Amino acid sequence: MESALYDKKQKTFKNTFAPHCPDKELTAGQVIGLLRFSALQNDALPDEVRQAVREELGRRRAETGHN
Amino acid sequence: MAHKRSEASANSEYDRGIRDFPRTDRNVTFEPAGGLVADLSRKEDRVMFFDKFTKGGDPVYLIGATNNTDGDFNETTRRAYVALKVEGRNALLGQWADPDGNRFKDTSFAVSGIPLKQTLMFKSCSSNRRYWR
Repeated sequence: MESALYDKKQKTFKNTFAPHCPDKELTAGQVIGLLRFSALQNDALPDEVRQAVREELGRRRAETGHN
Repeated sequence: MAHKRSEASANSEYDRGIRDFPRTDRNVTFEPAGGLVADLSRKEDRVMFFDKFTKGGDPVYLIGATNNTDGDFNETTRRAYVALKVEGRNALLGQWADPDGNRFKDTSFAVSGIPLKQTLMFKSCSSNRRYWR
């Protein structure tokens, strides 16, 4: 299935910010999924992850018009 | 699955959901039918949410039905909510924000007691606008 959530080419970040999530690494797409369902709050994000989320959302909006 | 609802009843519930939606800047998931407000970054809320929606202890999957760029609920979120309730699903309303503080409102639903593969089918359906056209 084509989905940014499962895109293995996306840069990954060491999961130091979502201790309840079992993944050791997360992509910006996965972080967006966690934010979307309130499983993560923005204030928990390290700066580099916050920036990657910003860039991924910008890419999606440019390509699809959606988040 | 929750009980199937008529369109009129689902629309009334949606209206109540919008009226009662929590006023907060936090990312939040809200179940209008039961008044459950959950910040799923909090363990106690995850436990409450799981207990409410699990089917026999099976995992609970949260699936997005809309993908709004609006800061408010709209006809798209209403249509999705009503369609889900008519199908007898556990429809939810949610708010989240991007790192710049732009808020978005969406409709989603919780399912349990199904294989992971089926949740991917649901995801595919929702991204094909099954619920939000």
